[in-house]
Amino acid sequence: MKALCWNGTRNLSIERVKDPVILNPKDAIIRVALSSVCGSDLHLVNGYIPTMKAGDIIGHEFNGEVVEVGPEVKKLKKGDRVVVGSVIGCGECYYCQHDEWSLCDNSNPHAEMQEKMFGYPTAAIYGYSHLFGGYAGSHAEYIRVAYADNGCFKIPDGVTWEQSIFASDALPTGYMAADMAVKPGDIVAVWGCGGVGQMAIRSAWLKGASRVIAIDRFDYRLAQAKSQGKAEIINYAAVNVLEELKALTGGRGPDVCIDAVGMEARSGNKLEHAYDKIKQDLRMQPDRPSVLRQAILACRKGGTLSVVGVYSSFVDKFPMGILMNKALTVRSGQMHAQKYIPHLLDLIQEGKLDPSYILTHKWSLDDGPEGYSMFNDKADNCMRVVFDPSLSSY
Amino acid sequence: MNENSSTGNKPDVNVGQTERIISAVAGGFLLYNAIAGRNARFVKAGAGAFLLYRAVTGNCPVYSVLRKKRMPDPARNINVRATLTVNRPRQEVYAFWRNLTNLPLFMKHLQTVTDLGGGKYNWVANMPGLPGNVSWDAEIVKEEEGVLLGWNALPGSDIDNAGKVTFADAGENGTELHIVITYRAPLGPAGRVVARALNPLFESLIKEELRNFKRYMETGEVPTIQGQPSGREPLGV
Repeated sequence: MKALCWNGTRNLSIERVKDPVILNPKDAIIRVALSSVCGSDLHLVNGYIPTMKAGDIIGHEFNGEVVEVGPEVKKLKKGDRVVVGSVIGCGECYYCQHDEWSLCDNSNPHAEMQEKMFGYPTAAIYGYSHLFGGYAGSHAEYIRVAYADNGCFKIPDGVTWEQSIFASDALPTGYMAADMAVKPGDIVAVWGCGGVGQMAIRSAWLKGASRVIAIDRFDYRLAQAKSQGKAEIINYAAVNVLEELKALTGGRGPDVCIDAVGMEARSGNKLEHAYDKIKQDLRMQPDRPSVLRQAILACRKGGTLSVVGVYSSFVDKFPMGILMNKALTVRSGQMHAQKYIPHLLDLIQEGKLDPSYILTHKWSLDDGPEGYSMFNDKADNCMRVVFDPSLSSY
Repeated sequence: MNENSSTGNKPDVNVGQTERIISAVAGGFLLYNAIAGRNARFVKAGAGAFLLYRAVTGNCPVYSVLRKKRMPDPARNINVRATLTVNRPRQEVYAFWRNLTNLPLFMKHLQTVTDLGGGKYNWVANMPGLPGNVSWDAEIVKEEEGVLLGWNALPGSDIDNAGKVTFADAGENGTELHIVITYRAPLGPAGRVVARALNPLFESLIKEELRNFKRYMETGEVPTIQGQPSGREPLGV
């Protein structure tokens, strides 16, 4: 089959590789219908996530059709249309049974690697480095899904591939950002208006927010936040975010600050950005925390910081004293896909939510490398490129 | 089991490591001084020789007379400790572990466990870094149903080892396992050097096998990516 492989920093290529097979009794093989790029893939592509190996198939946000099931798969059958959560959960450990699927004890074959770095291993993620299990990703014609009964969710009747694809990752991630922090009546600020940020904006309303303020530097993304997300908008490249947020919140600050950006954050302050970028490029700090710093400053006293943007390990100049003295609460995590997906699919079917507007480009898998560079450069007003392996680029 | 026949009889070690180093430096200095210097050369030579003897053998005759306790030999036994929680009831976890012939189902480096009867089992494993298989017979020497299991390797084993696993309730539905495995390298001092070099590998191997036990008990399988496609084995476009 064809697959999009990572060969090194900013080096992707389409390769012909063997088809996946069932390796464990609870596995299933899925014929990929759609597979989306994700902002967190850019951290891999740009070389900021360690433990990638040349030849790894990337991609973790996908849906498709079941073509084969292992002997212990009970709920699925050939031909089922499913959307699959990016995070792999065994369903049997303490964490899965407490609906904290991204903390699964058992799904990561490279648990030892994570124990050394994190103290305890977390769940594996498709196509997301060997630290996160080394599972082959979804930018391919077929993918093997582990613990398939837990990871695959049948797409309800009347819901299209395009409507359901983001229920794999962007939507549950944005939804979790709101679910962890937002109470009815809260004013919510969202940093980052990419796929996850857009979904966080929609989810904040669903959780009862009284106002939602979106922050980005790309006008086309802010325009979507305004038109699709009904958010007030701040372009951080044009104005001082802290002053603007104060002005918009009667001098109090937002109750909830959502970081939907993560480790490749930019700062409106050029000096701060240069400081973080140079340290990151010299490998002196793995992650750039300018959104975190700003959110901690901006948040109202006693408010909540909800972090779903991805970080790899350490940051410098983290304003711990401000966080502590302002009595902020921090909520965070990779999303618990299996906890949220059924509810989100229902909302999509009921017409209360349609994430498909963030699908701006549907391309052939052959165009994978080009798709990622367009997505990385935010060219052509790109929000999300989604690959359809059945399309031909020729 | 702490006697090691291949090392023969040696004076008891009763001088600590730091003290042995100090003795070596001071003894060397006194000997040098006795040879190069002029005063009290015999006294210095004698004292220097005594300190060097203490440093080299680790035995101090004065301490022996004063009956100072023997120091533990730090290189002799290697301990691996591990603790894990399995999300299954204690009796179930114990019963599955106690049926030792189950273990090769998921412990990847364990080839076979054969029940020899009378609480004795033959174990065959392959260790990364060592050629061929290693095997040993072990006997269950302590058993408390649902609580504790202890074993000892029998004479003639490739790896002299002993261990203990305890099982305790953890929360409403879980079991805490505490495991201690002690092993002693074959081939005396040379083997000890090899064993010390291999120990981190061996320890991580044991911990991985215990993780596999938890994975298998909880989910019925061990997660793997062996055999999946990648661009490392391209078929050519």
